[in-house]
Amino acid sequence: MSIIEIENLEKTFKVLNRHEGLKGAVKDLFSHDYKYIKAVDKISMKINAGEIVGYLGPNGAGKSTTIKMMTGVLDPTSGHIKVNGNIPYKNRRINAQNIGVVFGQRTQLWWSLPVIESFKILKMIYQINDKTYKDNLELFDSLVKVSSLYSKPVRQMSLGQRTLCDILAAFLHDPKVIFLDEPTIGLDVSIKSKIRMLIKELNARKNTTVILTTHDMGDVEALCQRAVIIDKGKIIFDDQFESLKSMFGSYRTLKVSVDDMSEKNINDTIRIIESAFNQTKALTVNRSEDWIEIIVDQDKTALTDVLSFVINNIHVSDVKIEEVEAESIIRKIYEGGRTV
Amino acid sequence: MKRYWGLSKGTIMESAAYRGHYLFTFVGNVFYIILVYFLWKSIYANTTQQINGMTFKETFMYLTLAASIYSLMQTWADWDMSRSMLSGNVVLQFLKPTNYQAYKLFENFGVMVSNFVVLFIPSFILIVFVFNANINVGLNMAIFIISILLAYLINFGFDFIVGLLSFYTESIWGISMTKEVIVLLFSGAVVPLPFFPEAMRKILELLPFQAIYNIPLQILTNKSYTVVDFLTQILIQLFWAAILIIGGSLFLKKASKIITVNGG
Amino acid sequence: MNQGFKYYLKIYLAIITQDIKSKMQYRMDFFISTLGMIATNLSGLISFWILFRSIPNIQGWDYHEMIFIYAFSLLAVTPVQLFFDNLWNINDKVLRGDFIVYCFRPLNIFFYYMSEVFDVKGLSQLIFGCLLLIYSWASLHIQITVVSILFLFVTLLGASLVMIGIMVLACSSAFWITNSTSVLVFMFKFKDYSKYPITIFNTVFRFIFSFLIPIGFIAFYPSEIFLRPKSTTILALASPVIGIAFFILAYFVWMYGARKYSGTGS
Ligand SMILES: Nc1ncnc2c1ncn2[C@@H]1O[C@H](COP(=O)(O)OP(=O)(O)OP(=O)(O)O)[C@@H](O)[C@H]1O
Ligand SMILES: [Mg+2]
Repeated sequence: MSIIEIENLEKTFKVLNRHEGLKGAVKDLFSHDYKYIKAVDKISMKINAGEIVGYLGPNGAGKSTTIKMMTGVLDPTSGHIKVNGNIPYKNRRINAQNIGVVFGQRTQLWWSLPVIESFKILKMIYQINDKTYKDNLELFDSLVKVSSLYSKPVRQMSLGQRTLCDILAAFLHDPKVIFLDEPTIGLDVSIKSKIRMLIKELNARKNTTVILTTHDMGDVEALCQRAVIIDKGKIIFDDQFESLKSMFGSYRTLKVSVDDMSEKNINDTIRIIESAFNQTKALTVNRSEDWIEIIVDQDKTALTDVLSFVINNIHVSDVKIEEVEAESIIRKIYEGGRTV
Repeated sequence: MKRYWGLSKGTIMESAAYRGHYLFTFVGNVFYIILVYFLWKSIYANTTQQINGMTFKETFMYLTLAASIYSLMQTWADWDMSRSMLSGNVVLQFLKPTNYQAYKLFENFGVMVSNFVVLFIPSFILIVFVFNANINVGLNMAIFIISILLAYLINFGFDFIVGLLSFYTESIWGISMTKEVIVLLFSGAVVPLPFFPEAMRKILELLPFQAIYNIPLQILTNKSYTVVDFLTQILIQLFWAAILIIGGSLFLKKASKIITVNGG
Repeated sequence: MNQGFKYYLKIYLAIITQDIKSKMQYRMDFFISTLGMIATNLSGLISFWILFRSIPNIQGWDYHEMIFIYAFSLLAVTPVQLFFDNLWNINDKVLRGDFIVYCFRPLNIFFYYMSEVFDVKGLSQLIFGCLLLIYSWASLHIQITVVSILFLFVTLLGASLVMIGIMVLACSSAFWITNSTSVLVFMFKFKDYSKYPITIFNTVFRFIFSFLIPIGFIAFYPSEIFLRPKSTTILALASPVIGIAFFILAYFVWMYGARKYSGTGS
């Protein structure tokens, strides 16, 4: 049974074309020079109860806009959307009772209050009964040992502690759906893994549906069975995460830096590497800031071959190997014109 | 010196971004001028020509020009200092190779210059031409400008000390408000000084507050002032400016310790 | 979902109690803010005192009557300070996109937003205003009857709603323009004008201050009921109704803006 149904959903923002300078400001007062930004462009999807869906895409793709529509903050320009059988924008409050939301670095807890007091107020707001409340607090503590934090005012917390508490607060009233918009942004590895574990456990125990946007492939890998990728407002991939991984799991990024970072030398180097592996079509070589980035398809060429070629033929000063970032995969899908 | 002027210029440029703010402040001033006009018109309605030696026109001019000077002095130096203390930025400002007090002074001087152009001059023109106020035009105009600059220094002196105080209290609203109310009332910007009881006025004339509003206004409007009067008044202002600036820099030495302990 | 008046009241009290508790840790700030508040109120009183040493009355309103109007205006302004102080934060919240978090709870957005801050320093103004009102009330020998006390509460409520309405409307501007704090400052200054008899103005401004920026209803018109019971105008009697109507208008404008506004960024 699908708990979220989206059909041909569209959101267009109307923005004024601003002009520069004082003259421009006066002009803007009377201007009707608008441009339209299609942030979400006719997307459709169905999400089943209990799923954890990774909602991915590059910056400005339209992820947050979609979530704002699902939470009832924004009204769609056209199309249909149903969450728990409600139309979010029309029944914002009823919808809010059944969902939980965490928006990255924006806390929804009361800034100057100790967390436990925030929880007590939330208990009143969501009319959570005593037993559920107590059970949930116990469950939270058994999962992440947070009770020591409870007496601390939110303003004195680190970003990681705050995010953790925000996520717990979102789960407090046993919502059917949770929206997490970049919950792990700016957090260190250990708190990230704690948060992943928490989400996974809560999803398993309470069968909560989770929609998660992130730029961290680790989050997706740890949590999501399904990935939906959006770019420029359009859904370009919607399938099991496994199939995404199998497509690109064989890719690695080899990063190389050279002593002479002049434009010319870099371009020469890129050309040398590219031409050496030209036939196999196994490489994409780019410059990314201070590194030369080589994306290697291991199905076609062994990473070690590329590495030894680079070391033997180029004066490298440093080398590192990385997993392919989510964005590169998404770019590849998009450039490949693959839509599913 | 060049470096300091750069600071002022920076804030002047920034103020351009606050067009809306200036518009509302100016319209607010116009409403205040209107209020003063009608209020004092009715105060003067049932009396003979003068109250405490001031005619309606003199009182009106005095109060509205005081309001214009007030808008000039609104540079929020104390609020700025408090905010940078709370955000920890104050440490960065201390690390700069410039004297902190001078740094703040010139930064805010830019705000004052913007205020002068966009708030003071239009209000001044409105008061003088629309309400047909008669001011003396002559040597006193030049002295008025000097007097305004000194008034600004004195006002900054107060702001700076209040800003430093906020490093201790870690909040600004209360002290800034108290300062503002005291300065405005005791300088005669709300009710002209001649209306005050004799004893009170005698005391107030010995205090620095009247040097911010009353002295520049007297220089602008008092027809009986001689060159000697001008000089005396300017000297009084110089005296208070020196006291407050020196006081501020001494206080700064003490307050620096707080910053190195709490800041950041 | 059961969300009646009691539900909201319970939540409101819970938030306020916690807020006050947490502010008690910053006692220094509380004392200094109270000082600032009292200084401000006192300066208004002192100005009148100085003024009335030189003149007998303003358009027939003598010193004690002016003090009555002043006290009334202080009391009428107090609720907006106590309960609606968060409106001063709207500019930041909207510009940074933080306003969006108020849309995620199953609560009325206006309520949720305003409930966040309770401004304790307004309490000193409440006390100051009460003392001043009692003083002028006694000096003017106005009778204390059940009816007059009842009238006082009703008119004060209406007057407070006018002031709240003015500030909520100013606050709504944040949803359309980027400089809304200037609008708030601009409108908040008018509270200082409300302590003068509206009759000092000419027809044009009397109209403006009665119907466009209705500061006349913050203190002058309702005060007439007590100070000039024989010649009370229809405007004086209508002030509670106007207060309610104006507040409702402001509320709907604010809600419209909030819903229209779409969280920027993120
Ligand atoms: N309130 C708004 N007014 C105008 N344009 C907007 C508004 N909100 C979003 N947009 C535009 O819509 C597009 C999608 O934005 P959105 O915030 O949904 O992206 P996103 O996928 O969440 O990106 P990110 O990963 O950076 O968070 C962007 O081009 C953005 O500039
Ligand atoms: Mg986003």
